Amino acid sequence: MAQTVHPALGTSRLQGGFTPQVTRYDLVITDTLVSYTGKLRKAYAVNGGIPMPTLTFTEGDTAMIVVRNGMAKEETSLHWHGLILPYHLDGVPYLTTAPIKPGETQVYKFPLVQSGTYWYHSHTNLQEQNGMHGAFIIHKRESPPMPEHVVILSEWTDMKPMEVHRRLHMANDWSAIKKHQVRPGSVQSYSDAIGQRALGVKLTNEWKRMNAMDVSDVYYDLLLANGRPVDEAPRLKAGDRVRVRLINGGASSYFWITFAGGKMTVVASDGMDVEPVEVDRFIMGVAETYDIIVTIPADSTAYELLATSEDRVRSTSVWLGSGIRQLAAPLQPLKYFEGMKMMNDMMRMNGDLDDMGMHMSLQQMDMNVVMYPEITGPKETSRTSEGDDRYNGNALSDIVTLNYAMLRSPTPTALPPGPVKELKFTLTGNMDRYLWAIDNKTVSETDRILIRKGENVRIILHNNSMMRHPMHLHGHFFRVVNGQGDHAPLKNVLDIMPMETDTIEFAATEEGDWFFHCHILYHMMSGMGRVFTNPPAEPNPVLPDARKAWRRFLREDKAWHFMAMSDFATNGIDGEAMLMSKRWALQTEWRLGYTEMHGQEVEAHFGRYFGKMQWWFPNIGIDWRTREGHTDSPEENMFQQRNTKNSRSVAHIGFQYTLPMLLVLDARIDTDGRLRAQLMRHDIPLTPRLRLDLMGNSDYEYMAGLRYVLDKTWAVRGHYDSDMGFGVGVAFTY
Amino acid sequence: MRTTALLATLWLLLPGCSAQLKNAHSITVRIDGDCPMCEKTIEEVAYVKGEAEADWDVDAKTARITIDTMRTTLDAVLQRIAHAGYDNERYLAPDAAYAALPGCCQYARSFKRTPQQEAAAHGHDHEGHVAEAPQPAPQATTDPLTPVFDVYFQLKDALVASDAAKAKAAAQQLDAAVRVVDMGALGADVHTVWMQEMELIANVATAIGSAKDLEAQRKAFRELTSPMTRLAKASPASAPVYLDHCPMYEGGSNWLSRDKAIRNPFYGAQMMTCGSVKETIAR
Repeated sequence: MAQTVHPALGTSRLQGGFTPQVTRYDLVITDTLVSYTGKLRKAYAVNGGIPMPTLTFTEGDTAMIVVRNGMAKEETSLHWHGLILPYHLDGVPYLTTAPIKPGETQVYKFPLVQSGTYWYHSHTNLQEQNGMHGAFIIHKRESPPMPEHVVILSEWTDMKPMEVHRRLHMANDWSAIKKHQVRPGSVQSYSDAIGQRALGVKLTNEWKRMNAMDVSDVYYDLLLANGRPVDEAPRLKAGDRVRVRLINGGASSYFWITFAGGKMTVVASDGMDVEPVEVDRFIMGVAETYDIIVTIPADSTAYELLATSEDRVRSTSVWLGSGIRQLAAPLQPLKYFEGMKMMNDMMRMNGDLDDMGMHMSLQQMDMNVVMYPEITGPKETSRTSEGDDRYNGNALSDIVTLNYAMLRSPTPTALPPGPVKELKFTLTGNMDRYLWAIDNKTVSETDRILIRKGENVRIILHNNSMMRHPMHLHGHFFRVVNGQGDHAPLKNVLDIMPMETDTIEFAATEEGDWFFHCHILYHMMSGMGRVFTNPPAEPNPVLPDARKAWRRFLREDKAWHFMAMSDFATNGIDGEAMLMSKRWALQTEWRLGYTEMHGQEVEAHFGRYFGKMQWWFPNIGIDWRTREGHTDSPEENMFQQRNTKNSRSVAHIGFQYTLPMLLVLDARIDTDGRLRAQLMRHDIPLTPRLRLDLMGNSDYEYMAGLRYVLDKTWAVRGHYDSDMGFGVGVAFTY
Repeated sequence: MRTTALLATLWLLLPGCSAQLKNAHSITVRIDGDCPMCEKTIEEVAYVKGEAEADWDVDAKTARITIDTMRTTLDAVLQRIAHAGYDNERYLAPDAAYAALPGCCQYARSFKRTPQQEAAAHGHDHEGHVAEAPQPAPQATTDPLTPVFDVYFQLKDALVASDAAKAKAAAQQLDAAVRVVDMGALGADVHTVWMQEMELIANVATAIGSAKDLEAQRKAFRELTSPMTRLAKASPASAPVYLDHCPMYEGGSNWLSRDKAIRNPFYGAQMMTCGSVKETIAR
């Protein structure tokens, strides 16, 4: 008789005798070309398919997975998400496991001490976004037979994921313009604000230094269920109760799940059983899994299980049953200006969020309900309410939405007695520079956190950023302290909404290094995470040079990003370029006239961003300009200093600071003792595609320009410059 | 000659006029609907410039749908029509979309299958399926007052949702439902209560139906509680009915509900869960 007992999971659920078996899968990873939208794009296939094959096992057996990297140049990795296993098989390259080099084969063999719905994906760069995700299902040894259907949800973008990542760092809103084409309102331009009589809301928003509100960062061309725009499970008939195992394998999208055939009964989350709870809908954070049971109401009908992205721009469907198709009600567009109004109330001038004493936690109060027409009514008749229930969707409507407080484990999950190590993490972030961190420090800016066997670790998480974060812990289940006492549910991903405070705790039973990070891939790549280390008795067998591997692992959030913008106009060439990391930036600007009279001007500076919101940017730089034949313009600045613009070659020291209304103040003093103060604001969204640029400084120089965005690269631009005069031309953005 | 040339030109233009779509493909599809208003909606939602158009026939309940096969699919057009509330050969409208249709457009849903009666072995909650089937579901009970209570609860739900239009429609239905009750089928005790209360119920329903805003509707709705409570007590239904109490509205007001959870019809979202269950009326 085999017995599998695991301290982290309490007593084993396995009863009676059985002979454990080894289930083997062979996976070959290749790069391939795919065409989801009619355009050929690079993606990753495993055994020739996207997504990766569903791996099915039985609890108590041993998994043996042979992985071969069949790619020519790229290295890769596979992480077994939610699985309890020895740390060196966890699959985080350079942290716990060696990367799988091109042509190399690695064998992953571990006993399965748990059952439920899990998944596996690449942990290398952004490979997960382009196909490297698949379902990992472990059946209970004795479970009554019932129909089941596995669904892994994901997104597809025609843009290269690395390009998406780079553009996120330059605060480019091309994604919002693309969303706007599908769902008008996504850009939240001044014209939209006036059209909806919400100009005051927009102005207050910008006064508090907020750009347009993003419910999710990335525009996707398609959402996919099992790799297809529409998935089917036709062999179901009336009265069948079917278990749907849902996995959010998306890189950055949250999904709302609704069903056309009545209520859904949630029976498990992140692989672990919960006591059945009936709901009308629930949201799946990135990397979460949920098992639901639904009943097929009538014969000859297929019922739509609808997965809609949180921004409600796209959806994907699974048809359960066959015959005429019963549609689910689509989720109506978000009321963005209601959301902005709510953010205005909660944003302090210093960029901190203020929950106004509501003690928000466990998804029970969702400020976003102000944007949901199905809860708070359509645009014209928005219901507003005061008091404790104003953000409680379940009190405001008849629609039952799942939240974490409703999850209850069927078995006790209390931790074994032991000393408690308590940690407080504040999740911080900055949308404009796409800096995501914990306590304003990224993975590479911190050390590993020591935890020891026998110790219980309690983490109190507070989200002080404007986005929700699905925080994932490797190699453990944590209890979500949710008012269910000893029956707190076990999970490995916790969605935490802005302003919420949640407590999770786990027993430090597993030796080795374990990554704790935000599972939005672009946030993880920006450094939002920590590493726990539970010193192993033996050195890591697969990473013999521990120091070198650790340094290589830390390289991820140290990346530099390049961006450039320039126009080619009738009066000259006007542009800027920037090379930046999460704290440092090298900027250069140029104004190149075609005649000697207009002259040329180039400046460059290098500096560091300070503060959580990175509004401060002290810098040093150089400034060079030349021109001829100008005698009429003032040769004195506002500070009564002589100031020639005909020939200058100086170095300067100064700072930039972002003021309310997103105005950037640039103040500097140069090596000749001259002062200069300048105010500027780029990219004011007059309409979704028409942008205004403004600049003025103490040298009596000024500029105003209008830009009409044609596509992600090109725009038409007209501007007036005090030195160069009026000009029109084209502008590109890289 | 000039006339001939002009005619020839016109003739050449004609095919272009009758078939504006490229790669055009037409197919006749059955689509449920009831009235000229349905026709307008169906044709409007089907139309996308350069992609698709439809011509729906109210008598035959079929539409001639023409699409540019390179730019769209028949499924896309039929999904749009179903999302607007109209069942068709391939897609059933979401129940919310059907319910949102104006009264004259609420056609009989011929494509929709009746949910299977629950096998007791499933132990499954039946409620979800009742909501599934807005068409008159076969009533297990023959209590002639059931329609009156059904409409009362619809009216209450509309006020909970602060939906004045829906409340108005429900009040008008209540007025109608009171008039068609088969009094001969009522038991003697219930009959007496009914004779005493029916006029008041009808009058309040008329008042709500003609009230100018939500506030006036709520004020009138309060007057329904007492006669409806008497009726509920005289002829208890199989499922319990809860008498709920809100201490705040008009110095204390009651209402009836089939759900144990408090959903306050006097304040709606402002104070949704204000109140408590005062009494449970059960058989």
